[in-house]
Amino acid sequence: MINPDKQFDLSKDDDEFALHMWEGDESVKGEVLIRYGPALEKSIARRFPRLHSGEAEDVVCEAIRRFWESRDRYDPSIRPIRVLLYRICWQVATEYVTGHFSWQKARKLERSLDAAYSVAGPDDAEELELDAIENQNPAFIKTFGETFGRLDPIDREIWQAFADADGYPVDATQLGIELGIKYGGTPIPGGTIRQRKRRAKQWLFAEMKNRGYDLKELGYSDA
Amino acid sequence: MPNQNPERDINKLVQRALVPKGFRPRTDEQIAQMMDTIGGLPLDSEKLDRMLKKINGEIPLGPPVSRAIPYNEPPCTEVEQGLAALHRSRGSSLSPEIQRKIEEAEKRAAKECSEDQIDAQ
Repeated sequence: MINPDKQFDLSKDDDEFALHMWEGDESVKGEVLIRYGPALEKSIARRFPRLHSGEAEDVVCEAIRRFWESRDRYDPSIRPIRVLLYRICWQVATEYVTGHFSWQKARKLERSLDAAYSVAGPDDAEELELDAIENQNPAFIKTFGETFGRLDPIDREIWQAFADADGYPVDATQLGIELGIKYGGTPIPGGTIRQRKRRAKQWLFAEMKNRGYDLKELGYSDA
Repeated sequence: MPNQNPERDINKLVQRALVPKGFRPRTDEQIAQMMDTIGGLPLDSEKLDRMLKKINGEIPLGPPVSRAIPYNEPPCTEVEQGLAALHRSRGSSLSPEIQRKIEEAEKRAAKECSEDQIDAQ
């Protein structure tokens, strides 16, 4: 258990945290965890809905471990600790979901923290465009979400896994094993995973068209 | 709408549909704002202790032990139970059966030991 005499100092700002970190003061890990752990866990669980609470907790722990190990790179003038921690959490979570909920596999996929530490570039133009669509025509996103929710649960999870991976390669065989176990059957072959995803996409495009939204006309491909 | 990578495009739409608006920040400012707004319940001491141990590598990441597959051990034989009892209560009298098995084992061990010594010479 935690030593009850140990009092973490939560009044420190990021500059003070950085000084203590660079001196190797390990109590910073506890202070960072107390101060930012709950918000990190909650935000990661919401951002990656397929994670259960224990997995979100592990993502936060792994992120703080990596942050501590890379502390020499931290520069408080570039970004606050809480922002960097969220960025690292996001990276850990994508590795974990890409490795299909296995820490052993996720660690093999461990990527450099360069992206988390680098100065942020301009915002993604496509995302900005989607922001505009979401604000001006929220019914489109709502309809898409409702239609997506009507997919077969396994198809929904397959597609969501690819979406959570955020462009990183997904191992369809491992995903098939995970979903096979989860849904109480035999592992789903990798080829079937890809086929189900393709069919799910075609079904969703057709359903959206029936509801007045032609996704192909909007620039999306069902391939 | 830009469409250089169709797979990414539609996945971004999936994220929009599944993740609430405030929980998909992209810029540092949006992340800071989200973190400051969320807050979250303070960690209780048990969770804090467990998480610190995970951070320090003292306990592994992954599901708790209770979720692991139980180890299926075959049931003990009567003789094994007797041998186990020997170690639980040293000095108590042994059953004749156990006594006989121990004596046989000791004789075999002594014989093997003497044979090894002859071989070594």
